[in-house]
Amino acid sequence: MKSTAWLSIAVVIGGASGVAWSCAGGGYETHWDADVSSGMLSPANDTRSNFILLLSDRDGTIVADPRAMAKGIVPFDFPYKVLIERMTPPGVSDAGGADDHDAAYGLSPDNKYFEYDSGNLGLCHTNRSGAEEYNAALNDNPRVPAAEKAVLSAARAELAKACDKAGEMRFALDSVSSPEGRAFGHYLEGSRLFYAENLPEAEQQFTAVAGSSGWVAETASYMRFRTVLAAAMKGTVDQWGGITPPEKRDRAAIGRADDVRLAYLTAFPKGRYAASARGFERRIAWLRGDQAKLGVAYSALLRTASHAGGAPDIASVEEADRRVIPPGDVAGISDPNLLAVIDLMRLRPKQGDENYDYLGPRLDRAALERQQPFFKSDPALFGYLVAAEAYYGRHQPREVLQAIPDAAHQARFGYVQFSRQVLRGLALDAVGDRNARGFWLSLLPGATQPYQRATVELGLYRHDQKAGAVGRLLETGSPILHPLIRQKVIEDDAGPELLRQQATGGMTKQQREVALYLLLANELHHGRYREFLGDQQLVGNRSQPGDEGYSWWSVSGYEPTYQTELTPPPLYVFANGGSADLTACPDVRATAASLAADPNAIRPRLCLAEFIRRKGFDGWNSHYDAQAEAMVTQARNGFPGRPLERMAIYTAVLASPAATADDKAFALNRAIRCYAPSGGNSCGGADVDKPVRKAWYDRLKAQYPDSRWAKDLKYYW
Amino acid sequence: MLLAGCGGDPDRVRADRYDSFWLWAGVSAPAELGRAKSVYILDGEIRHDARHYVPLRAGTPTARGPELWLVVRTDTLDWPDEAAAAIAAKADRWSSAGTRVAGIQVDFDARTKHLDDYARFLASLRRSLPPRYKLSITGLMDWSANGDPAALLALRGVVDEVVIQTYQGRSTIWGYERYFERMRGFPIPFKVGLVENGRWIEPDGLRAEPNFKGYVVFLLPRAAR
Repeated sequence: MKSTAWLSIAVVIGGASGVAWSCAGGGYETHWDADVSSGMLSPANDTRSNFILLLSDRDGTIVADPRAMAKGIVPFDFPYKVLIERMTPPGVSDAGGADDHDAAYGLSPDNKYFEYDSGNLGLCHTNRSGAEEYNAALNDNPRVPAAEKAVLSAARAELAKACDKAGEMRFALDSVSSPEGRAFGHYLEGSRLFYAENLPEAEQQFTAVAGSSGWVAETASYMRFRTVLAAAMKGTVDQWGGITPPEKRDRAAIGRADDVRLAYLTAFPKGRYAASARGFERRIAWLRGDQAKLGVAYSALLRTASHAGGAPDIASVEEADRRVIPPGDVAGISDPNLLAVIDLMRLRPKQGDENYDYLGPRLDRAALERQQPFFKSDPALFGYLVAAEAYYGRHQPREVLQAIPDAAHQARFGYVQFSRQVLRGLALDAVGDRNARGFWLSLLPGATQPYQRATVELGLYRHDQKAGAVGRLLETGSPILHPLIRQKVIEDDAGPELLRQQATGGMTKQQREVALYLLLANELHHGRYREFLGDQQLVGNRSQPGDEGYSWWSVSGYEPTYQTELTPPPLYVFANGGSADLTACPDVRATAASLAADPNAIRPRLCLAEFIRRKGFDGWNSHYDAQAEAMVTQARNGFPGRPLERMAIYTAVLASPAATADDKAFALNRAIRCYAPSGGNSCGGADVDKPVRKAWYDRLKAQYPDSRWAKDLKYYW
Repeated sequence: MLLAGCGGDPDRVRADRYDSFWLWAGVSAPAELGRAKSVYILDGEIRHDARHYVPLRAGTPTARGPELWLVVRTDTLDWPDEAAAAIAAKADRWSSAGTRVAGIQVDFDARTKHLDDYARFLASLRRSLPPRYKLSITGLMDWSANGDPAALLALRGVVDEVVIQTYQGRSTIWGYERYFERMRGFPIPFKVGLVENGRWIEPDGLRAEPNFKGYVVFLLPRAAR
């Protein structure tokens, strides 16, 4: 999806004042986006991203791979997926993204992509590894005659090959008569019925061999649990194939599954499947909706899952995120990281009248105070949460300043310390503290961990934007190095002088080209033809690309999921000869020269419109609000005045006694085409109704029947 | 069209005003869903980093009433050979459970620049799917704004519809009106995908688009329905 990068930043940095930012920024969508990651702990972040930052502080796990960060633009807010991708060195396949199914079942995956997937319960998942184990146990068993082994093994192989046909499959095991062989036979039939999702009969088969010994007895006992669990799962599915709410689930069946699980563990406390059976405790608790037990289980899991210097255990993080986080309930949870992630989620603003993110109540100070005993080992984190509750929950920046003392001068910030100081910076800005800018600047030297510097630069940008002084961010010696911020200032705030200065003095080629492109386009749209003629010489000769169209060069289209660099603007349209292909017109330089001599010259005005039409400038002014006499969006606010609209040119030409017949026919043709191909106006100005368009068309055909412009049109829109 | 200025509050997307929905993993179905015209149900994912299909639905849907679309989310065009047959078999299972399966929807964020690759992939997928299932895809507003028209045209006749997403995460994409200006004459039957509770004012002229076939609303998880 296209990025809304600047929108979500609004929330990360301006969370307490989302609406105000919205107006200042011109956007009108003020929410946090659940899919966001940034360099500071925040309610706006994806819960998993907050986890990863916290694990970095506590366990020393990485947040990003330095090699992945060394290239291209470091994003400041970006999808969780990007965070995971940047944790992996370039050229290595994805580090994380734990497989839901593997995580849920704690089992090794199959090799064939769809094989296990015979039914939606996904029971065939275990088929392959099950077959290998079965054959190994069978071969090792001296009490099964060789001929029976061959029959049993062949039957298991048949099942392994076509799990999805298990329902129709019939095994010919009549020749298997030894007691041990028959036990393997029962087990095999139980497996077939299990994969066929005939769960009651599968359970009977597994129960039948419970009294045997060795591998068969233990595995059948474990499989009996899996069978009963699968049956309980079947009772929790709604008509859409989803999981029903806890209160509608088959609690008796879930309880029975847990009993059978515990029976296995009692009989085989150190058994082959003991770890798996213990892991299923979390699944049972989740099925029961037992939030307290989940809290205990995931607190324990997350304390042991990650190791210093490596990537965090994404599978555990994602499982916790799925199972324990959504209700927003902290019962049973003792792990401070898990608490903090849930607390931050509970500070997200409502969207309209609804809360779309979690089921529990919003976090308040009293609820937070009750958690304090769990934060004894991490008072800094608790202090951050106290401040975050004041800032995001109650919009009380002064409380933040009391809760978090100035500790801006640090050699290297951990993420909790960093988040505390950034929040302090936001609060200083919110109360209008006159040292706020200095505070932001003092954070820069210590902001060395991944994504931190970008976050501080963004804070500075926001500060200067509020102060109406973003221009200084482009001056020599500016602390702003981030290419997105620098280009954003060029795009939104730079007026003619700053654009001209950046066109030659910009920090990067990209910034110089964007500045020049905006300068030239705006000069044409604002009647500054003489200046255009001077500035156009900076473009010079450029090769013209083929027909691939131009790419989205603006920061507003930057998408960190797909891009690590910004694309250059199509400056070649202004190059010498770059517009030599316009119908009935010279190139834009000649047109601008004519208009510099006479701004009202008729054919040159039509030719300027033709340049706008053909070279990608329709819509240049579509965010201009005539009533407000300003751009509704922030984009291109640095160039004062109302930009030119094509329709105004056509209307003027049609009304002008000085226009030739060919000029008028040209204007009519283009005015009619404004509504191609489906009746929408792409030329600006007031929309006209279809009868007016028909009248243009009739006039063109009646008054100028032999003109190229009349012959060009077969119909109107 | 004009953007809503500050202080103006454009309409929020309310599920009860629409008749077609996406039902994603982790979202419990509201009661009214049974009366919907179409429901696009996320079944699972084909991921470049997974060793098998990642199912995201606990069971087979059995709902009578709405037409259902089986949605497969993917981040790769390098699908396993057996994918089309396996997905068709899933759709068959949904049908045999008594549901009305309209077709398969592929949810892939195809980059505008690589639309031609995607068109080739879809043409091949279409050939591998039984004709009884329609093929739907999600699309980006950017396709028509900056995409290669020839690649878009190549999708015509291959996919039965494109559902254009107007949101990212839980928010309507800023500036969607600009994109719709460039979508005039979109050459393929399309629906417009909205996010529940997102902001939306129907752009002028959208209704008049001959290929516009209505809306699909992405349902969000909610505390109490």
